[in-house]
Amino acid sequence: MKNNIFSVVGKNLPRTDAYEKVTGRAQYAADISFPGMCFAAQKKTTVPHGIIKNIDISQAERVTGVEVIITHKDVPGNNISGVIKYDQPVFSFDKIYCPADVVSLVVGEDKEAVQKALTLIKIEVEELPVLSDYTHALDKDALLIHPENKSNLINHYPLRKGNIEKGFQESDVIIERTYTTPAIEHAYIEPECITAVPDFRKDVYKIYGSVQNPFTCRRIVAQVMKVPLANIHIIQNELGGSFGGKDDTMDMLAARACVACKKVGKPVRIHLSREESIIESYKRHPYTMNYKVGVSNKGILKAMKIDILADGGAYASMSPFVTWRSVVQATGPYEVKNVHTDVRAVYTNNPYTGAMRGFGSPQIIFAQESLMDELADELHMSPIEIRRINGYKQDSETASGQILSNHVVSLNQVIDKATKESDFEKKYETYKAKYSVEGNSHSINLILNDNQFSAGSNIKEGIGLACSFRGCSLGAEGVDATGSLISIQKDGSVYLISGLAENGQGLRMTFSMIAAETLGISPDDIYYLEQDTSRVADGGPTVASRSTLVGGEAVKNAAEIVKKRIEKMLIDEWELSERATFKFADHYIVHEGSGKKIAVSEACDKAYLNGVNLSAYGWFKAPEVDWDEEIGQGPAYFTYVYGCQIAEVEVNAASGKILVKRVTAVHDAGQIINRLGALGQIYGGVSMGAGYGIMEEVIVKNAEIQNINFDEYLIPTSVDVGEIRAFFVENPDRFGPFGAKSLGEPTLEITAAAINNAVANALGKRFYHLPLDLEQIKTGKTLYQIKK
Amino acid sequence: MNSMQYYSPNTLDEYQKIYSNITGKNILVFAGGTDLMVGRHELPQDAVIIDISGIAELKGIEKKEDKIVVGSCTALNELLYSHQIQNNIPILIKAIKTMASEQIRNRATIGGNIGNASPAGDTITPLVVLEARIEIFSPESNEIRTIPIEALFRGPCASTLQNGEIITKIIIPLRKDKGIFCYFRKIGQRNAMTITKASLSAIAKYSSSKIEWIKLASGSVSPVVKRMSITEEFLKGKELTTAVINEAKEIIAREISPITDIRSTKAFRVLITKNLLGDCLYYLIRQQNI
Repeated sequence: MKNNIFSVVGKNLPRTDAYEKVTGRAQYAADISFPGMCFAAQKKTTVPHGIIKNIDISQAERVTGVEVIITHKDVPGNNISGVIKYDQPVFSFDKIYCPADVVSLVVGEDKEAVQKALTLIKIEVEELPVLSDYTHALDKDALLIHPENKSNLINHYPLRKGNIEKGFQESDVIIERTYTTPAIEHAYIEPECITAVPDFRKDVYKIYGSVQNPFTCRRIVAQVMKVPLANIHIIQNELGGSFGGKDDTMDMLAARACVACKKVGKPVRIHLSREESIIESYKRHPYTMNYKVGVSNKGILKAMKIDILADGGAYASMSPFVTWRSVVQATGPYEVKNVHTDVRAVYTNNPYTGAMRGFGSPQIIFAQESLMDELADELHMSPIEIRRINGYKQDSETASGQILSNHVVSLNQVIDKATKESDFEKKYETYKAKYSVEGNSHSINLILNDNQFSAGSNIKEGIGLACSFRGCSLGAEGVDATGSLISIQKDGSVYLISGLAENGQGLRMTFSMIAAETLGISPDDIYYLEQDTSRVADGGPTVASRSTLVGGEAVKNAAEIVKKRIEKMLIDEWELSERATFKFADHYIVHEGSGKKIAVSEACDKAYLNGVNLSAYGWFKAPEVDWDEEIGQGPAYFTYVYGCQIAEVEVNAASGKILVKRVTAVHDAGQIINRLGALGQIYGGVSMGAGYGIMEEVIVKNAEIQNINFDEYLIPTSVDVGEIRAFFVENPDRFGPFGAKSLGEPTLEITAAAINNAVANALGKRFYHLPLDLEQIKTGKTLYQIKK
Repeated sequence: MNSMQYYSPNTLDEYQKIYSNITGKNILVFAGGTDLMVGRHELPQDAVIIDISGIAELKGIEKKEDKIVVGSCTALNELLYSHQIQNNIPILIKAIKTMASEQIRNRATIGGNIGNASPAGDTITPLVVLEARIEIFSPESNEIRTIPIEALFRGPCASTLQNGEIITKIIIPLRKDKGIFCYFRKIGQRNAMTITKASLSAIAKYSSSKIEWIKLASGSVSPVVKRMSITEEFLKGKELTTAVINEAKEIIAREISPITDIRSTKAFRVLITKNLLGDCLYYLIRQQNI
């Protein structure tokens, strides 16, 4: 295959950090220590919503061993912060908006003294009523969380295309369904840890920690500290998982630690316990989604009216961007002439919600893919047929009017591959014949009355399909550019760093492979530098599955600049024509005309002695995209990926338990750079997606999280998700390095929807709410719905 | 500064000495700590914790004529791999297999699981139907007393142990009658590391198509684990017809008093307890027909 043209790209290579991580040598944020380091504990109130009347730290200050107690009064700069909107207090002072709020920090070297002082801080709060049910946040008489906004609306994205009334008039079958999804915890294995260290230079701070986006963190700390950006150095430690979750929370913690660091003049660490982490960190948005869809008898989608409400919690955080992705992708990968979509995010007193792997897509895919299967049933079609008829093809037009022409639209390819590999059609019909879905699938199906756990016949098998399209990188969210720095030493060894950060996804290896491929060396020759905001230009956040595509292209660009200089030197040295071509591979540079060759290391030595600059800055700015906020039209993203997953389940009809027996995942992520890393993304993404499908739910009662550790917040174990079969369809992209695109989030977003369709196939009964926990399968209500 | 104190006695004598030297403190005894450690942040700073899992005389499995005596600090995995338990008390093996994970079973002890007094404790329902007795040592009186296991439970996670009393032995009587049917099933959200939403333990003697006797205990559906004696009484002497099974399911539903909590809902627990009983009785019929 085309892999033959590469010597490094496309191979299965273990990560550069694998050895250190599996042997426990890798240093995470809590593993490092500084002389004189103080520990800071955060004081929260027990009230989810209220007016702060008084903060009394006098008793706490007197505890021996406590160095200082920090409140909002100590903040040199901006005490109100946020990644998009400024609405979150770094230290609460006038109001408590949600249980995650922090009023003060107790700082000292003696952890026990700090803990004791924490209990002695007295905060007087006048309680306010609590708004926890987000579906009532926009009611006329709703309690206002941020009254200055005059409404609880964080943002509203309309999308209008065609004529929705006409579309429904032309429809033969119209169905309308409401879907809901719960809040989800990222569940990274490493809880948040940050240390702010003072520098001998005035107003300079070095901050070490498990930071997902060092540049965002730097901006927020600099604003809070009222110092220039250049004075704040964020140094990222090894990250024990993030999944989009170590952005705002870390920024706030870094800012608080830095305020304390300035006051005490010593290094200050905040290290959250798991309970604090779950209470304080933001979650994936709960969505309530109303879908009304019209279709002709022939199965052609005529109209889609979509109304989505997202619980943003107490702060805007990433809600405006998360819900924007939802409005772009809400129809799924299907051509619909008439679309009328409204997506709103609202404030409540609940835990605030922000970025999490998927970013506004797992919710809508659950709805739209469940709906497609239900439509197929109504029309007596197969799930594949309805997707074939309506699915995006080359040059299709999206709901926002974008023509998909600049990349290979591979929806049918991924569906074909997945259905073939899983023998979908035969299995689907076999299982369906046993328990056909009722015309009105809201009816209770008798098989759920089964009561024999141990009899073989109570295990109902099902297979379900779901697919998606996903815009790569940031799209019209904002500036989409990033840089990278390469510096080749005279022996041919290489320093490499990029503006995007390793978050555990394997970026360092992928980037090393891209640089190695370009320079004809091995990834082992590359030393990937520690992430430090003072080392490299601000390349935006490490989000949106953009690293390989955007960051990888910047790395390739940097390597190519140096490569050109080496080529020029060789042209002079070997007295070749200006148009001479070279092949860089297997540690040698070969002139393709004469066959003259030189080791890369030798060429670098020569270049060094000739005064050739072997360092370069690479840059990649994404192609222009555009969005009209009034009508929701425009080319939202510059390229897209397509994926299809098929889930096979066994439902125990007596207990309601679902075993995800097998998932076949097919993704077109363009050219795969590190095959091993890509497989890891699929295995991890599918497992997280399965958790979303069958068990995960942050249970919030009166704005407070009830399950604050992993004994009660359940994520799947290795025996809860069966075999995962991963396949890649590799259509090279014109923009990404060597044709690579995105993979991280697509792997997660589809799984829950596929499981829901598989359960419907198994039981002949449809479900509309995640998760498909035992309670919902047996009694129709999830644990989450009951607690609300 | 007050700080937490930790002791790990090696003998019962040492335990008694440590206990008698502590006055007016918040004493917490543990024997494996797999539950305690999860909530360690919530412990008061002046807590005194005593780890009894190092007391050698509280470990081991011994068969004595008509009973098996298990030391309270015997790890769950020791029970799981014990031939004595495998051959004589299969219901306990069935239960332990469903508990936690390999690592936790190496550390968690049977006495700890019982002493924690959780209605979801998975060794408790089998021991209740087996009519096990619990031997308790009092460091104040230096005496040993023995009580039926059911008398140990006062409420959810509250036992009748007081003044430093610790469980020393679990005495499981062996039945003379042959061909005893046993059943354990628990329903949890996961396939490992899962806490019971509802469970059922049963032992029964079935002969000439009739239930001679049956002992039932449901987990996670009442404030304390107890025998389902009304249901047992109803089934006694009955032939297991569909009508009888259906009626028994209704009776057990009335006998339990489940609540909605973080792990499950009342509606689910009622439904599943009924289904568990149905499953158990149909399983019993099938076994007899083999």
